[in-house]
Amino acid sequence: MPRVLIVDDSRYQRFLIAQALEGMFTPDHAADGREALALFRAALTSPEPYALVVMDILMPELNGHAALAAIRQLEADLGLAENARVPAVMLSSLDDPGNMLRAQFESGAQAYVTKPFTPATLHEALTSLGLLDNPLSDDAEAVHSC
Amino acid sequence: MLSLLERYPDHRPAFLNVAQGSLYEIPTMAHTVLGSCVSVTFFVPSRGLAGIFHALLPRAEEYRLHDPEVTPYKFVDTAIRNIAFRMFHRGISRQEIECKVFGGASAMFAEEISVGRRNVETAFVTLAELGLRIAASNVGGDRGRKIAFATRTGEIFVRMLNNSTKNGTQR
Repeated sequence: MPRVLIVDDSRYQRFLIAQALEGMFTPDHAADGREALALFRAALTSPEPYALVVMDILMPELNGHAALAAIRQLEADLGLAENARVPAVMLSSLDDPGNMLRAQFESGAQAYVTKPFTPATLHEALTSLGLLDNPLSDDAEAVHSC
Repeated sequence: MLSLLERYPDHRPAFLNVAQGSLYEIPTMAHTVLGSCVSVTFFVPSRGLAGIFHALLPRAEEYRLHDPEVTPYKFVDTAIRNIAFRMFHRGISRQEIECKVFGGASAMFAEEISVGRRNVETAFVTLAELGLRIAASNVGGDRGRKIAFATRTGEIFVRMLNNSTKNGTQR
């Protein structure tokens, strides 16, 4: 199974996230951003790097924005193209516009899910990131978008 | 789209063009394609009621010739208020409504860099002003999104498109 890095300072939240991803990913847990960065750095050059990062924001040592930005910098330093970078979902109890904007426009998250969350909502995010089967086809309607 | 409709045989398909939006009481697979535009979905699980729009620009007040009474779904702020107030008018409280925000991709040429982000920011701020909770969002980046919303279940399907907003096929 692909690997997921679950980053949250709450053991209970890490359990809930791992439970929601059970059978889909093999989880590693980190309790703060610094620990996450160390795990990610080690995995990045391993035979089996992470396929997904689920990141909290409010954590000791290094918050989720800074940790994810540092992960993106690590990937850039390795010369990874943007479309080759690991998908990341920010999963936080913070639901203010500033944090949601910063996560997806600056920190490097592709999706944001607000706690308390349902597994279905997290699965929707993973489907949009191409990590779960997507019943929505990619067809020619794209040219009509704006 | 076909495989989705096979999964939801009781939902009828409805494509949303730019500046369109609606409340749905009968099961509908509302779908659209977004570049820098924004869609917000509204879902009231206890009532089987849902709403969605496809808005082009952030705030109506910035466009003095525009009459929001005529095309409320052209702008993110008036579109949100229109759907929210229609739900409030039916006696639905803000705590019952689950919202999700999609779109807001950025084009790579200078004059449009901020349009997607401004659309998203307007959506986040307007929803916060109304006290509506955002359960999830999938915004930004430089790729368009195709989305489908099953209005009976509240499920959302998003596919990131391979063609970038910078290729001129999307605004």
